[in-house]
Amino acid sequence: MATQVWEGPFALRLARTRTGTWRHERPVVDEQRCRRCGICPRYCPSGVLSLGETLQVDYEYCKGCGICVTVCPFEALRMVSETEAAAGAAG
Amino acid sequence: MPRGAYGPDLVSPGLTTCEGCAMEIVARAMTRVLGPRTIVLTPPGCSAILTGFGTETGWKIPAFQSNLENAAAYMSGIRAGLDALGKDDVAVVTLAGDGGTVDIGLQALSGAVERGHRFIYICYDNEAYMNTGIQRSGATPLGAWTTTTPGGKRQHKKDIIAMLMAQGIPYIATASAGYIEDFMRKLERARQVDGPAYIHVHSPCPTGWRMPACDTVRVARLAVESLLWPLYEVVEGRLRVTVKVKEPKPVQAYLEAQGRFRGVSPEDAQRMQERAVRHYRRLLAQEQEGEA
Amino acid sequence: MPTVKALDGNAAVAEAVRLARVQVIAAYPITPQTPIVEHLATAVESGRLPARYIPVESEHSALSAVAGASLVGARAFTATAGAGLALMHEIVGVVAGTRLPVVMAVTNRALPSPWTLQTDHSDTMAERDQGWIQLYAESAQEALDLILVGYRTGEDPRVLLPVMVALDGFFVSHTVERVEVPDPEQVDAYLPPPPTNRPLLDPDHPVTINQLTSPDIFTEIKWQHREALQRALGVLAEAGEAYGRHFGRRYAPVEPYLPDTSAAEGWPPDVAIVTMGSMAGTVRQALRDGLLGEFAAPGGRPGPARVGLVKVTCFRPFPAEALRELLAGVQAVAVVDRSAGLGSQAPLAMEVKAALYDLAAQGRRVPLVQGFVAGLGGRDFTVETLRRVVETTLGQLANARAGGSGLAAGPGPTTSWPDLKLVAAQPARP
Repeated sequence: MATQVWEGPFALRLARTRTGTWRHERPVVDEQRCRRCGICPRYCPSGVLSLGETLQVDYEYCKGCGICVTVCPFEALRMVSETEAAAGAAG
Repeated sequence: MPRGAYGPDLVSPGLTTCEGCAMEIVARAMTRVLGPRTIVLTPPGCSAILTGFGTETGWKIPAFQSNLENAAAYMSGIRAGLDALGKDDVAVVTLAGDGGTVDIGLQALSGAVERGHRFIYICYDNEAYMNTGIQRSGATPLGAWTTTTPGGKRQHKKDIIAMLMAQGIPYIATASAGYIEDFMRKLERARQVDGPAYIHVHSPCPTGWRMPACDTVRVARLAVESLLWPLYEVVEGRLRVTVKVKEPKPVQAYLEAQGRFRGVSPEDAQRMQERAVRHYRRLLAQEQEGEA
Repeated sequence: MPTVKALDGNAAVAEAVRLARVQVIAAYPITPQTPIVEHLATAVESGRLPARYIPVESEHSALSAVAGASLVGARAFTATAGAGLALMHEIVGVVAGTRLPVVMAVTNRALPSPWTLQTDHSDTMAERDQGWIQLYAESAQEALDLILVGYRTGEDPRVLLPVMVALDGFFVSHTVERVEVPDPEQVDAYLPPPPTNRPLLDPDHPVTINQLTSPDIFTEIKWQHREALQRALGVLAEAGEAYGRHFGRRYAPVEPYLPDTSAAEGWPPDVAIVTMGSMAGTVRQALRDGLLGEFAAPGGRPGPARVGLVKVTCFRPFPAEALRELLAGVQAVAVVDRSAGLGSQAPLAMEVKAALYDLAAQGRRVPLVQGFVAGLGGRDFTVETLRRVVETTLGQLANARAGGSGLAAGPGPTTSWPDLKLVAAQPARP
């Protein structure tokens, strides 16, 4: 039987809106303080925090909501304005 | 429960939900617990944002957009179809808002619970019709501003937990986006139920509750800590308070954190406090009775 | 070998659901469909029908549950009538637009108001543009047969659309007739298993179904649906033809009938009566048994007028081309609708006129079309009413002026209500 084209309203591709462009400030990790407890990835609404060797932030999609900073028991995260972050990267 | 016992997050990033959205925290946690052999339904509301736009979707599991009021009816048919096809190992879950649950969705939910199908119904309660721009629902609390209650809601919040308990639902729980591990443990228990399971998750909405996006979890925790949102579960009619609050906080901190409660007078806040304390004590008493 | 039983339309539908090996049934009672869900409950309870039976809490949930079952690949069925179908309306379009091949029996019942338990086609007519295949059964036998033809057509990979099988409430649903119930083995040979090469909710192949769309893709998805519905006409004809080979009763979207001779030889008649459902049965019997008496042939031709029936079995998709060819040579067409079509002409009449428009475009003669609305709210469509229909049509024809395109329009009203009783209005105060 020849492959058929499926019809009707269905979606197979995963969404990838670049929501990182929304933010005014971004979370920055203090690797000295971070204990890799695993709490902040559970509270990140956007799923941009991942715990590997260190805590990584996917800035492509991070909206800068700041919830991660509020749940960290060790004050290992702080919000930094995008301008400051850009200046930091350039300097 | 050891950390890492759950699976990966099966919702993709890059979704156009608001910054700080509690529903999204709940959705990601839900997929970590339920895993890939899950079918999820979202009525047209905030959770439908995860179900995509155009030819894109946010779900890595099979997903379907129901109408606002009939997710529970769809689940009944899906479960029956899976049974007929001999597919027993698939979880069927709805992620619905308060409007689609306690208002327009009530009939289908009550009917599905009465018939006893095996499914999980998660209501993310952001206490209004948020996706259409903050209109009151039956779950909007007393005194809250919405666009359709500009002077503050004059009726109490509909007690959907009591209503479903009256039907004898095998598993029902309250949960909070501020106590995500407690929610995940409850969801694990819900998955084991051979019948309907319902979890009502308090889901603060920065946009609708008029507060900064970073306050979602803090405000959710304040609701629990001031006894306004007790966390408990009822298994076959037996109640257990899952988060005991040793030193309850005054409700003021919770109310003052949100612009929607600006119109609440100190007297109203006092009454709210008293009501919450009485309710919490009743729950503790119920828990004691069950153990006796 | 088929079994011959005395069954009413509801029982016949239940037999068909059993024979079709339906896997999920959603059941909600509403007069005059209730015996269907009762028969099915008995069949499931006794084990004769190994299906999942969901006694839903409303018709809206009935169709939703059936859609859910179809979304995971199961064959599903439900039945309703009148206000129940109206309550389902929100989901009727969803099922068709999501391309779910379910079958639903509708024991036609007039929509309120006024309230009635009795039949007319206002319920199914209100759903005609939702994109379902709509079939109208004339008898209990047809109700049984069309359910099976419906599954075969709707589930065909070229179609993948839901099917409504309408049967007149009480006149067909509750009238006991001689019905041939096919053998299960015969039906298995006719009806393949439900299709799985379509978007399904399956953890082994995750896909999102029924997501929000944008103007970028909405039109194209609707076009796919339109094309599928067009293809359904041919697939239905094939399925109806195959039914004839398997079971001895052939079905086509449109069927002509003449009393004295085969329609193939004697066509066209002077007057063709176009109608659907049990009224077609009345016309058929009246013509066969000469109950109408004789009318003068049009144009002063010696002998009686020749009257024939054009039965429309498939209302959606509307078989415009077949109808056009059947009616092209006819002098006058009497279309009898069983719904009022308030605010305009009645639906079947409008379909017929639209179909015939192309004759004018092709420079061919267009027959006179007279619209009739009868049988509303269960009023019996009698031989007397039919006689009035034929008289009025011939009268219109006699008074018609021959126009340039051949389109002859009589002086009377566009739509006539031949069974209207002129009674004094109720006084306002007792």
